Amino acid sequence: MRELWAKIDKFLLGRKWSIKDKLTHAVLLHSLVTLLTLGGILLYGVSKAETVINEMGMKLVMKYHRDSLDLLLNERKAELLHDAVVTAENTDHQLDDLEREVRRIVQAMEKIERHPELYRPQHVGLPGESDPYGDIPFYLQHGPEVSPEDFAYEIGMAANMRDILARIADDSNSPFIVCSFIASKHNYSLSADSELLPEIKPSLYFDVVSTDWYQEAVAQGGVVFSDIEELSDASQGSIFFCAIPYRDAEGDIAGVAGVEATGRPLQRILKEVDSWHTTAFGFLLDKHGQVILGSDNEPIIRELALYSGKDQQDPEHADIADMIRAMTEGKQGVSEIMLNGEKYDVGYVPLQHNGWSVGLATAESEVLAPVVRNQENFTNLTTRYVATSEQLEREMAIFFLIVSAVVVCLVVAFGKILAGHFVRPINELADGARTIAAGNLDKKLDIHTGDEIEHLATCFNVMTDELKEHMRNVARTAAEKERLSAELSMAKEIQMSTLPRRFPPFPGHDGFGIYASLKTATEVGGDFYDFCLLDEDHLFFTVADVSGKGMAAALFMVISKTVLKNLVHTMGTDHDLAAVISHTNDQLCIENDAEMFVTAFAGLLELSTGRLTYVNAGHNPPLVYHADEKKFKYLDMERNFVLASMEGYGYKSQELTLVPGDWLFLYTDGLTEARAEPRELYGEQRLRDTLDRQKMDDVTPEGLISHVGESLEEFVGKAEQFDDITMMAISYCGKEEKEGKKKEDR
Amino acid sequence: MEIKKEKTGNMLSIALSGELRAIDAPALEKIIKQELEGITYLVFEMKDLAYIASAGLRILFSAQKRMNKQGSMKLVHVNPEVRDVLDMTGYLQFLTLEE
Repeated sequence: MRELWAKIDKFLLGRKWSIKDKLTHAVLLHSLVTLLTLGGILLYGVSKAETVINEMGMKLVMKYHRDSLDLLLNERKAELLHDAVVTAENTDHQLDDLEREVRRIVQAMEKIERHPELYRPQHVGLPGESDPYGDIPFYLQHGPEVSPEDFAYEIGMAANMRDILARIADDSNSPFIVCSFIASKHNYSLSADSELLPEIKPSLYFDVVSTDWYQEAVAQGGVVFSDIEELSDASQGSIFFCAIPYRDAEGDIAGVAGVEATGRPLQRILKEVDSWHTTAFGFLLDKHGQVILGSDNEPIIRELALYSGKDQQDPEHADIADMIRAMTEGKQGVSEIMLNGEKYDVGYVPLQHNGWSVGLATAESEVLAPVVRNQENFTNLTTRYVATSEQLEREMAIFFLIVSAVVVCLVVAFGKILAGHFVRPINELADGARTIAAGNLDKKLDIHTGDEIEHLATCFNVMTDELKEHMRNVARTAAEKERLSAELSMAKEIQMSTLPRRFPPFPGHDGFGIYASLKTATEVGGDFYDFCLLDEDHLFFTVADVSGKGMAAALFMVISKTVLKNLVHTMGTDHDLAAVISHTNDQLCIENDAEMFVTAFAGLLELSTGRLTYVNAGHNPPLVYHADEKKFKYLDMERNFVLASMEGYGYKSQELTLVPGDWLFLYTDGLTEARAEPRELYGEQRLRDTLDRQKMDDVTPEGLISHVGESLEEFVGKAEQFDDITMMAISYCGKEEKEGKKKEDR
Repeated sequence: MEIKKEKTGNMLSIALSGELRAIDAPALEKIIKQELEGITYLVFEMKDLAYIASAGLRILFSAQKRMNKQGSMKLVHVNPEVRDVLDMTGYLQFLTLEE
């Protein structure tokens, strides 16, 4: 893992990108980051919004569903109750109509009872006899124990009811009345039967007083309705009776008038419910809690009838029992019952008549079906919407990716072009710089981008101009310097030519050896040395250092040397060196406008005796080697002042006697103050050590100087020489060698 | 080298440090030429001066010659090497040294 990171790091940071690449990558990175950020936010927003909408949609659907259910159920229940009320009213009207018809019969019959003088007995046939009154059979029935002849008058008077009974029984007047009749307390009855088919013959005997409705009507003394009976032939439907007792002139009950009616009209009323819903049904309940009539929906009615009845105790159907109890108690309301595994809402309302009650039922599932369907639709819709939006989201993501890819391509292309545009002037600049570097200073950069690069190019052009100018100056200076250098080197030539440079200078003079070297720091220097034989026995030598360096020093050196040499040659036989030096000093002071000065050591060696007379004018003391001590040491020095600084200064001379094998080593401070690189001086101690290392018995003056020179060279290395370095070595060999070899050599 | 000068009334104090070489001489010479007007007492503080070249000697001497006319001049805290040079070149006899 770490290696991988290292690689990535190396790739990103270790690589050297060109500006063009950097720009391209920067633009690319910027675009990518922007794109990804925007895209991410967009996608996140869309997805979030979608989730929220979906959740909200689902919540809304659920709430709508619940609310719809509640609303629908409540409405349905109210509707059921309302319908039950209407149904009950209609049923009551129906029953009222029947009752009204029966009362007409009762009125007519009581009129006959009270006013028999108004009627005459009429004939009435037995069942099956030919119809004496139109289409409607009118016939007499009686109990088997009754003999009609016993009540012939009474029956004949009652037969006056034929017209009214037939009219009531006639379908065209009241279609649901099948039969109308009067039943006497003497157990006979007269009936008009519109429904009676010609091939059916009613039985002759009919024990009418023992029928429930007769007994009930008598017992009540008012209107009664019988239970509704299903006929054995189901196609005939059901029938029931309405009966009212009638009274004789004395006010006693003389019999019962009634009609037999089909249940069809009531059924029709109940059936009106059926048309609304497939699961809907209506039913009539009697005062005993029995289902006495149902709408067409028979299986469910029968199912309900199974659990009906006041005494129904089945705990599984307590809901039904509760409802039936409420209905028999004459309450109105809405109950929920389970029937056949289905939940039903039942609205019930009591009738005015007979303790009956009307119930209307609808399965909840059907009522709620639209809502459920709605919910399903909604769910489907939501699912589809979710799928669609997910698809949309996917498409958006893909679209975004494509756009990103296109943008990246565009950015790369555009970035390269842009970067190229940026970099081109830089490349031009670089090319220009190369051309200029190659020496073409006439090259001008022609860049007009108006930005920093143009500024840079302008600066570059200015720089080139200045460079050109500078190079012209340098060339001029160099030419000047060369000329000067040529002059200086000529001056040096002249200067050096004034020094004795021929060695050995005095061939034939073996009593001494002398060698000198001068190494100038600049082309012309301020040091000088000189020596000459004043006569056969006197060697004059000097080493001097003019203050300062360069041309002025060189000139003053020439003057000093010339003056000194001239004056030395004027020296008298007293060989007063101090006087010569004092004189020289005065001369130099006169001519010294530049306030220069000279330090000098001058010596006069009497070759025959080894007597050395010397004057030191502010110079550093020379070293002397005594053969018997085999050691270099500093010459004892009188402190005289430098030359050319104070006119009239009295210089003092000193003396020393050399023996053969003795040496003198003269030098200027350029030697001891020569420096190695870290400012270390060559120094007097080093010089003396170097000299002492040399075996003096078999060395020439030239050898000694080159020995010191080598040591110095080794010491300074490559350090620059600051001051002129002058050395002079003199060996004294004594007069033995010099004997007989006196030769003029100046 | 480094040259520090301090003027107090008629007194000029010049502190020299490092090495006074021929190449440094013109700068010192310029100061001497410009600043000596009205000066009656010139002091060279030479505690930190390690080396003096002949060009430096010339300047000191020329300053001394001028101060001889208008006042006095002193070299203070001259270190042994520089003193040797002054001694050897004979300048010591014309200059006033003070510890």
